Amino acid sequence: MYCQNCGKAVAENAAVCLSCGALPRSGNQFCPGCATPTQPIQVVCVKCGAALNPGALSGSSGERIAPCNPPRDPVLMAALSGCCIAGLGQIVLGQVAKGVVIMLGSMVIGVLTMGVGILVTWPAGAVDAYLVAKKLKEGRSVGQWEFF
Amino acid sequence: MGILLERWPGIQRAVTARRVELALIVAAIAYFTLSRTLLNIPMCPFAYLGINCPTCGTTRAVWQIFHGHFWAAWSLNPIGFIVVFLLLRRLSVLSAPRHLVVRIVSNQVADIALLGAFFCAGFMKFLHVV
Repeated sequence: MYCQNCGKAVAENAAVCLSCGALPRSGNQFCPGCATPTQPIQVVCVKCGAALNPGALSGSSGERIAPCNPPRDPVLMAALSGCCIAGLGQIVLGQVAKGVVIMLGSMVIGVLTMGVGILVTWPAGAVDAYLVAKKLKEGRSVGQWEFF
Repeated sequence: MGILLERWPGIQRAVTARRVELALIVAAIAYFTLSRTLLNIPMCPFAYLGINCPTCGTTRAVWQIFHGHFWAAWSLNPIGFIVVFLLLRRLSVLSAPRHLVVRIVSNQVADIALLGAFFCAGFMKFLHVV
């Protein structure tokens, strides 16, 4: 890896660049993959394709939800989303807007299909809450609108 | 609640989150154990519309289990047993996270088994098998 501030080679796990003292991924002058000079506005390196600013490519500009301590119980979140109100598990996990949309969406689908649609929305909502909670339990952050 | 807790930093947030969750679970168990009758307020929006839902009856089933009426709970909704187990598991995880029993009931295999049982019970209820 190369320092994005000065373009010198740095170790993959280096906390700071030993040439310029900056955080290796904090600069916007060089590509971290091939050390080619880059413009601050670029999102990927046009020579090797490496992401220059990983956050810019994730698709959502919104905040990400950080893992909490103690982590929430994934099955309990699935049960909350499945038993009480669809989307409640997601709301407790921090995905408030997504949870509200799931809640309203499952109600509309349930009413329109006279209850049969619940057979799809119910497991989908519970599995979604389980997988999102599992990601957070494993220490990964999730997006506000990240599904499964 | 989650959003409020996000604003408190570090260890204080962890301690507060743990206490809030413990208090909620203890309050829920106390309510289900001590209440003579259950408030007749369905939490599920479908109950008001008269639509059958795989988890209808779970609250009543949990209440029956805490009163020792296991057969009544089974016929209301088998998911009640899973919810009671999850409540007790969470209580033990929050109070004694490194205990051997806690590690046995709280791991990936137990999680997947519980999730499978949850869906089986829900579909059984929905299809009127129980």
